[in-house]
Amino acid sequence: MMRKRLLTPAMAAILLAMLFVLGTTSPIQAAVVYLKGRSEPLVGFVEFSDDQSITLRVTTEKGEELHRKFMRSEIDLLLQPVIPSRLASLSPDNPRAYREYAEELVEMKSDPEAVETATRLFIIAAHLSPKTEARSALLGLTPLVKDPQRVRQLRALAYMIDPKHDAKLLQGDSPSAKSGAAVDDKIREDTVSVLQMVRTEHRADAKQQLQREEIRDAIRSGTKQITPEECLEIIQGTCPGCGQGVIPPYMMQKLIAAELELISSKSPTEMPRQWGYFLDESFQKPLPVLTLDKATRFDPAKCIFRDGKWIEPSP
Amino acid sequence: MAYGSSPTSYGDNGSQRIDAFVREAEAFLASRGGHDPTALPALAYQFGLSREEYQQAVDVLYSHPKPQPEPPPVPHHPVEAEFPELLADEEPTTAEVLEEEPLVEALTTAESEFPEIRPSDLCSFVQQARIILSDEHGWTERAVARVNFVADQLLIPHNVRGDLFARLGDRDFQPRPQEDVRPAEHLHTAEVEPPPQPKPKRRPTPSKTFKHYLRKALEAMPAKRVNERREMKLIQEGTTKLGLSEVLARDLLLEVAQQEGYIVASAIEKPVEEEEIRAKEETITTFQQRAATIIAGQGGVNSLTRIMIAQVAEELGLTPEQRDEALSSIQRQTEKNQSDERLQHRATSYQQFLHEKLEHVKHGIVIATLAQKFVQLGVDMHGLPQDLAWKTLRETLQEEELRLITVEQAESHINSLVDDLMLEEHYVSMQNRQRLLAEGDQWGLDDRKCQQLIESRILENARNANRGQRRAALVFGAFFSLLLFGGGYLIYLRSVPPNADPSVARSAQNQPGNGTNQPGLDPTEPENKPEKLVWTRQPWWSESLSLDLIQVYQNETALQPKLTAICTPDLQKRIAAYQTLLPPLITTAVARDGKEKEVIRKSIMGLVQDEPDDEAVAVIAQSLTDDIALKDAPISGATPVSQMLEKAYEAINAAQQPGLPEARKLMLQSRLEKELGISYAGSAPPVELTMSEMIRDLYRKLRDLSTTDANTAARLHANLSATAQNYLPADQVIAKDSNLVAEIVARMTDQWDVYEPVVRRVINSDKVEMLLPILDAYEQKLKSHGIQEKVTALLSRRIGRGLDADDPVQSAAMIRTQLGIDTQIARDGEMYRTFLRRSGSYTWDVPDTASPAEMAIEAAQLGYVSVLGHAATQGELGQRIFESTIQNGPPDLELDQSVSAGPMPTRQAAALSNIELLIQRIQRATNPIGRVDIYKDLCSISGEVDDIDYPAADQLVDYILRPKQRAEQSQIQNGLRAFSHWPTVKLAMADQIPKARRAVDDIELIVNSMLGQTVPIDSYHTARDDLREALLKNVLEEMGGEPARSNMLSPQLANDVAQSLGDSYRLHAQLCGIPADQLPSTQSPEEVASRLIEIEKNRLHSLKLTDAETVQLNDLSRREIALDYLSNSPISGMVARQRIWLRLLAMRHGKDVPQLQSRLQQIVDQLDQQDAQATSVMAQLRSGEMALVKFWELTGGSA
Repeated sequence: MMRKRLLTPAMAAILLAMLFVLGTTSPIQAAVVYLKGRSEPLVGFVEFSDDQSITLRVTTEKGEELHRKFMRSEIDLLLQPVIPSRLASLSPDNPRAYREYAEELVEMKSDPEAVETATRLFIIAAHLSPKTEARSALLGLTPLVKDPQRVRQLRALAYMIDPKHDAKLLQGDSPSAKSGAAVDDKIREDTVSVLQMVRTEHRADAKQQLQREEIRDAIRSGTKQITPEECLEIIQGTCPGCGQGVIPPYMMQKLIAAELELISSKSPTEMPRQWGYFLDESFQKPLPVLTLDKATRFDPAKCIFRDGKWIEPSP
Repeated sequence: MAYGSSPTSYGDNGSQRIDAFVREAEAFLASRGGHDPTALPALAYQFGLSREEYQQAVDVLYSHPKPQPEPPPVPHHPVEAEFPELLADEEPTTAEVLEEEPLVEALTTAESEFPEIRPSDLCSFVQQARIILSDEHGWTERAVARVNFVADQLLIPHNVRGDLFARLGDRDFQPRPQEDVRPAEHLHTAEVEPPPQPKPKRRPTPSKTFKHYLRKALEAMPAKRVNERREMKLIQEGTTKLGLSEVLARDLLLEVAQQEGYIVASAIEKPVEEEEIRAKEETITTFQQRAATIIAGQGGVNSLTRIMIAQVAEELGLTPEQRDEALSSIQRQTEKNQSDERLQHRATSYQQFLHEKLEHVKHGIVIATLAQKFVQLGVDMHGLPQDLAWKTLRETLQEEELRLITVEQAESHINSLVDDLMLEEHYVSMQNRQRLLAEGDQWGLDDRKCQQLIESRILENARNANRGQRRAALVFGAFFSLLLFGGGYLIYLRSVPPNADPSVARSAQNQPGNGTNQPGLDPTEPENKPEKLVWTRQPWWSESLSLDLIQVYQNETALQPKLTAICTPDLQKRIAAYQTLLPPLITTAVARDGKEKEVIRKSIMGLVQDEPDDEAVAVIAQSLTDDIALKDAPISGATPVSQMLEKAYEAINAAQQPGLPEARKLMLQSRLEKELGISYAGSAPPVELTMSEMIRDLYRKLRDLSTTDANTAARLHANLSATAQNYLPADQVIAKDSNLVAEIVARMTDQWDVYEPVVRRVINSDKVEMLLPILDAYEQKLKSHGIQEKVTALLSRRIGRGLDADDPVQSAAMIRTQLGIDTQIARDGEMYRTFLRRSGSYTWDVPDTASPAEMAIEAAQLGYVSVLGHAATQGELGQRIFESTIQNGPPDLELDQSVSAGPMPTRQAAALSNIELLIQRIQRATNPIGRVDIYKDLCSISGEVDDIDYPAADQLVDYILRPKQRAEQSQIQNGLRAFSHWPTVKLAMADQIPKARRAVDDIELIVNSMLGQTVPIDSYHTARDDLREALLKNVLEEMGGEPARSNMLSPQLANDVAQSLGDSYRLHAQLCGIPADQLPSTQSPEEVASRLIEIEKNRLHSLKLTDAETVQLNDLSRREIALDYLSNSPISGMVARQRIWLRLLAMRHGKDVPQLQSRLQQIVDQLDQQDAQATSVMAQLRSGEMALVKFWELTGGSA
């Protein structure tokens, strides 16, 4: 599907233009080469190119560099999305152009240079025009980021910088517990059993039980300590510090506290969130700094591309 | 004379004869053009006029206007405009009208003092009379006769002769034959033709005018007496309308009154008293004569003289006052006569007038023309002789520190400037010409004169240049001829190889720039020669800058080339020259003192002020502000502290000088703000703020250094303290020294000789509280025993008693008692100093190798110090918390050595394996005795593992809760405590209790044994739930004590750190006004921090915020939400709250103390920087507390 999208007439024209440039004086560029009869592309840097052939420098998984020469007739598609001339044409006077080009490059995730350039262009766009471009640029950047905490950082930045300060950007993480509602004793016992299953690593049973709506409601209304979603995260091993057969202390604490709250005849007590439970590596990561210049490794002030380098505009 | 001997008497026919004579004379004069009045006496004789009749006729002839043609309109005289009120006096009496009219008349005819005399006659008379007087050597009888003869010849009326004769001695009195006094027809034509340019005429002096006016006024008076009211009015006329001094006006009135035979009331005494006064005067005169004789006889005034004089005074019946007055009068008479006294009064009045006028002169010079005007005013308005006026003026100029510039000097100055310009540029541009004219104007030369000077000087320079060029052409021609001849001779020599000297050829070839080697490069070409600069005044240098630079040039010979380099109109060269000049100039200023230093400072300020180009000023500003702050760099021996301070001092002084363009001021100030991180927006004086902040920062750096290298810190402190006294008041410096000395002395082991003066100055300070820090340090024993003894000696000298160096506590107490240091008075300062001593041990930087556990411990310790800082800033309000915090001491947290990174130890793994085997064996065993044995084995090794897996725990609990014989049950009951540290076993027990096939009592017994406590049971029906709850709670409580699975930081330590920070933040909350009972100890630190944030927000909301501040506060609220969203643990939540609280604190304090804004922002920025580089949340936790400590350091110091 992607290949079809990339073969638009406009893109083809760009590629042709790029190939022409490559044959003359272009510096070394990254390229994605789709060979005929192969589904997986080759990613590397163009070392040499003429009308007949192209030589690609490819880095293997072991870190070795290989030079591979292909005849143009073997190539189904050659992608070189990062075009220096287009980068050079970008001007701080038009921040939107940075974001639009970055959005084009985001589509080409297989090309590391495209990803890197898209990241840079997004953050520059946000820097140049925080009021109009920050939200789109920062949210557009999130698909390129793998670390969930960094995704949250970008969303938090978008919330702070965008003039609308849309709180919806921060939703989806906070528990929506509605504690205090009466729970049927039978359901309560079943719920406690489910929590015990989670705790005692009877995960399949627990997962099955958690599909019951009444159990999920009982958890939501019977305790403030844990949510059904968190229970599922423990089962699936997707919570911070969680793993196959490993329940981090903070989650174990939540499970026990929830169980205690459900069986206790007394009023529920606030569970102290002891720091000792949060020593897993995932909790020890530093809190992100909420500034654009620290959001990526690129300095957004260097927003002009000249002679193959990003530089700051002269004052 | 014919008419003098006229036989006809002056009778009824006299008037007819006079009229006839007048008609004939008019006709005669009209026919002769009015230029030959000499025939009039003969004509008078023909008409038989007597001398008196002739005189009357002449009066009529010259005073009556002619009926034909009509006289020209009387031009409006400016003097009338000057004295309008003179004619519009309020309800004037007849006498007043009369006395005013003559003044108007006198003033309207002021162009000529003698309107009765024709100008040409007057001029002729004056010339002839002066010749006569010169011949006769003054006013001899013969001279009077000859002058009168001439006056008769020229028909000069007798009534004006007295005045006229008196004016003959005045050299300024130079009447000229007026060309505009023409016959009637000329006057008539003046109506239609534009009048010719009037020639300047000398107007009568104000004194003369006033005298004339006085005469007329007195004549108009009905009586020969001037009462006091009229006297005042007449004097007022002179002072207000003619500008005379009051003294002079009174003198003139008395003089005129005396001449005219009038009595001035104030000048005479009452007739009744007159005789008494005369008698008294005679007595006093007698006394004075006798006293003078006695004094002369005794050779001066001594005790005997005094007795003798007293006897005489008694004998003559003089009172002691009269005697003293008479004696002092003798003294005065010896010094001056009465006339001198009057003149002296006038001179004093004149001097006062001069002071008023000269105090507004800004350029430091008074030009000759202005001086001449002043002197003329002294003569005219104050009645001083010219020489006395000059003398008084010179004295006044000296007192006002002004310089009198003569016209010659001014001309010479302009000429020299033209010379300089011609030398540099070979022409004078329009711009430079304007500057020269402005300079000339400043030096008192009018534009016309200045233009003339410039032109003539340019011409002269051009002539000289032409002469020089001709001379140069001649020399060059001669040289060229010589060269040709020499070249020809050389070729000739070369053409004879056997005899040629090869060295000649070699040397010729080796000549640098030889045409064969470097074609086209001729170093002798004038174009390639650099412009030779000359040390000369630049057109844009003001007078004061010129003088300062000249002084620097003369004082600092080493700087002369660099100073000369700035003497260029080329901007780029000048910029380069400034860049080269300023560093050594600053170095020189540092090395000099007194006037030499001051003149360098003034020169730099002057350059900033006078330099015409802003680009060049920017370079000067950059030179003055570069590298004046260490920023993050530590201080060291190589730090040029003196130069940094001097540069900043000169920069801020240059910025503050009056009259500096605003753009330049802002340029300098913004550079200083950027470099030093300060703001001039507040009300603090900029110079004091700059120097205080710089020096404070350097002291901070020294304090940091003292923790690692106290000896170097001591040496540097000694230098800095001495230097700082050049820029700050001594008491401020010693206050800073006081704190730093305590830090350094406590740690130093060497450098005592260098440091001893600083320590001594602190110990001997007049303010005894300055001793407190060093006493605190001394009390806790100094690191070096040798230093301890030296300090003891100094302290001992201070109180004049012996002290024991080995018992510092006792000695310190003795000093406090002896000096009466009231600790209560110095409490605030002490708290702050104590806080600084504690905070001085921490810096932003942490070693790369620091583990999260170490950073967590430091975060807790910094949290403790932060409370001290917060309490110290609260002063008395924070005293109780400060003292209790100090008493409790810092948190005692240690690294848990038992926690080790890496996989589980082999021994523990083996033990776990054994445990699992034993549990399986219990399950399989059928013999109760065998089960008990296995159980005992299990108990014995249970301590080797922290916990077991749930399946094993489930099996073990299954065995424990299984119904069994009483003997077996009682056997295992005793060993249950061995598994109490296994949470999983307790969880498994909790899971099994609901369905356990045991009596509740048995289960209760088992659970109590397991937990080591008695679980309260409310009722039998809920007993199982109660026991289950107890087990779960126990697990929950003990979970925090588990060793870390990540092996990075033990949970126990993390919880301890949380507890410590919670305690600290509870104290912060108390300092912010929350009662202690509203701060439960169970609250986590992040919860308390949230309350602090709320308090701070409320405080800010209660203030009057600007729009920008409101936006800032809203941004902070959103930042709080965003950080909360990013926080995934209570630790990161705490980190987020630290930052929000700090930003809110910084915002409020920045609003309270605007000059701290930039430094507060620096702390926030530094924290951001640290966060960006942090590798763990614990590092951020530490940075957050460090930032708060820095915040208290800053705000506490300013409080």
